[in-house]
Amino acid sequence: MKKILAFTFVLALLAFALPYAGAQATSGTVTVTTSVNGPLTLLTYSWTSDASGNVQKASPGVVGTIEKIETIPGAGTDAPTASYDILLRDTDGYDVSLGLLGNRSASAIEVVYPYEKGQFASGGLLAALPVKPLVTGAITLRLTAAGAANTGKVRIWLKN
Amino acid sequence: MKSLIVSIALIALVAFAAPLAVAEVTSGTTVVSTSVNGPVTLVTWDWASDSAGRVVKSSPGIVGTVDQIQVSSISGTTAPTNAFDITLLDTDGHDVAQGLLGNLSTASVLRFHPYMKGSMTDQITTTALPVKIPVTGALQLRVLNAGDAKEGKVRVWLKE
Repeated sequence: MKKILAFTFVLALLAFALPYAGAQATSGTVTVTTSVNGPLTLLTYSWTSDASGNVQKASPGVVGTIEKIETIPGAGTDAPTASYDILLRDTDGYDVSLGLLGNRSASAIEVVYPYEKGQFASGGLLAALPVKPLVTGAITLRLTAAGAANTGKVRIWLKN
Repeated sequence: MKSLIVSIALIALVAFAAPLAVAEVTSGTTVVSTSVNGPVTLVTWDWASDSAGRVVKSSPGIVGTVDQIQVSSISGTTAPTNAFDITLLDTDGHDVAQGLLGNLSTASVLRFHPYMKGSMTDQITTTALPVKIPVTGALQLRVLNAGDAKEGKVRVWLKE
């Protein structure tokens, strides 16, 4: 009987604690989907901004190098405010889009191909040696200045 | 009978001495974790420095070429002293970070892609021949000049 009580207590503790352990700050409303086709993973955030024009949402864990990022603004009255900004942060807070998603268009679909630079021991950057950012884990979409209750999509292609 | 006793004595000696021979002198408090996702291995050191501002801690054995290194810390009282130094030594004492992790700023998350220069036998200039650094074995994290009881994270991604 003592063991059953102890077991029940532990279960109850876990049931209360787990949601808090995994809790994440979100803003706006976002649906995140992933589809895997062979070595390619496509991650799609379909977002609606909150009253302050912000969006924040983490994806499930993904693995691969970032091949391409596409931003698609909503149409008509749902279109975001011009020059809205996007960050895509890894679990350390590093922007894996390398700052390329600032000042997004409110009407056009835009595509970026982010690359970093390799480095030799001297510390000199190798402009001719592009390196694709590698991700292992969740990517958090952070979007600001989009206006209230506007919509759009962000799509990321990763290759493993 | 004599040779049997000698053999047993030798085995006993080796059994006791071996663990001592491989023991590592560590500094600070560090949790090392590894995760493997297909061809990508991620090694993470969550470190806290000792009173002398040092950290020494080896990873388990790993295999791959170094693809990307990320250094991060949380701003506040536990942030390391500015211009702290990190090396990642292989079992021969070679810094696989190629000296790129010296004088680190604590202001942001930092990303590196270290390369060595390849050598051609015909003496053609080698600067355009970058080579990723292979690792087969443990990597030892060494942090210096971080300040007393400071904290940070180092992540190394390797590819098969």
